[in-house]
Amino acid sequence: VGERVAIYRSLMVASVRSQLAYPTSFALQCLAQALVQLEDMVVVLVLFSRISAMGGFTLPEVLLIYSLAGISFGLTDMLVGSLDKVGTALTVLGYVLGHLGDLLDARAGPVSVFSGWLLRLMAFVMPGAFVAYYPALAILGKPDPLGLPAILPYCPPLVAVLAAGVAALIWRAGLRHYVGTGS
Amino acid sequence: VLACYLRLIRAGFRRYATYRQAVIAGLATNVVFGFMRCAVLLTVFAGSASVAGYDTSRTVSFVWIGQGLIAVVLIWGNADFGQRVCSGDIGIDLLPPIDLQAALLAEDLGRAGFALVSRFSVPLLIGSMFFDLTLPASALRWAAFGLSVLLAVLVSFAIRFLLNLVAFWLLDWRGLLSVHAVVAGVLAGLAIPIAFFPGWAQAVIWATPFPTMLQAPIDVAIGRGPAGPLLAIQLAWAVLLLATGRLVLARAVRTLVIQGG
Repeated sequence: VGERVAIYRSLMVASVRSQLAYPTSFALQCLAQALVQLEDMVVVLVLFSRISAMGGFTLPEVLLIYSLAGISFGLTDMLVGSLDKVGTALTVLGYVLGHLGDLLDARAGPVSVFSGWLLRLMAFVMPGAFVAYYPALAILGKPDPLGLPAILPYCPPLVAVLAAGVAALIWRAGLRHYVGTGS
Repeated sequence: VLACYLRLIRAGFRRYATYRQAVIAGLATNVVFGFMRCAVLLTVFAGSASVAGYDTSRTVSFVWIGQGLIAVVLIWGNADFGQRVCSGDIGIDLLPPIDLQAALLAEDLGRAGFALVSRFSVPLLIGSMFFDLTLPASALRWAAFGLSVLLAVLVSFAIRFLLNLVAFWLLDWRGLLSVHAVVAGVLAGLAIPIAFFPGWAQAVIWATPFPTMLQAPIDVAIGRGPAGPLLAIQLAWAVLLLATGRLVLARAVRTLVIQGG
């Protein structure tokens, strides 16, 4: 085990060193990451300057969901790295899910056409809801405005294990099908 | 000489038409995000008929036209040209007796043309199937919208050209591209209509060239005010940024050292 840790350690050190080779670029990358976080928050704040609640959630509650998602992806990126694109996409998904409750208010017009399948897609096909939405509900002790089973807010650890399992299977399948170009 | 640029436009079109899977993947993303952005933005209308001059129809049109234009104006930028600077391939690009900036622009117009028929038309079609979109009401408005999109592509090209020119000075200029990618989306009006921002922030945002890439053509399409002033702002930024690009390129080429190998 100690040997493996040493390998991972030297890989991490190499990654940091290679990024630091171009200090200007590294500083700008850091700035970009910070701006990404800030930008989403600005969008939430601007929207809330026009409304007082979104799908049954107040501004502090939406910010909680948003920051849980941000912390989750930040930690994930730091620990397993280079998944930043997946992370960004899921942050957005988690954030949007926080507002989907509104769609269930039997909104008149065309929105109801897609609310059903879009909702299920977000909650279960791409498990973005379990990153921040359900943990936030658990923290707030808030009933799910979507009316889904009350046990779901406590399921994220289970979903995390399942998702990791699926990712491992896909990775293995990918390796089996991989043909190097032999450059 | 003109025939040469026309061929470059066609080459740009055909180059991007080759990657069909990329087109389908990009379209799927644009469409899914279109639905999600509609869901989020429509929550704003919980109790009111219109917000900052947007009714529900104009808001969903804002979303779908925006989703369609993402690939046309490459709102998050690209690094093709800068990579050629880093690899030294730029030396080959500078050899032929044609203007480098004009040649790259011609290729980019071809790319944008293909994006228009593939990545713009499909989200708009799907959006109009599910929502009541506000689109140009007259042939004249459609023409103004077409001109506005062309100017948006020119501004977008000029900004990307300038960003990639930085590669002449910075060996790793990707940090700059990252910052641009983050900033451009919000300032161009991709996340929420710029009119939703407080007044002072709107003034600041419209003082940058970013809204001319997205918000301006969208406003022309959904008829928020007369098209003339919007087109004039776009034209001014396009001329200014393209001219700046020429100046910077001239300086950049003087700094260039290419080692034989």
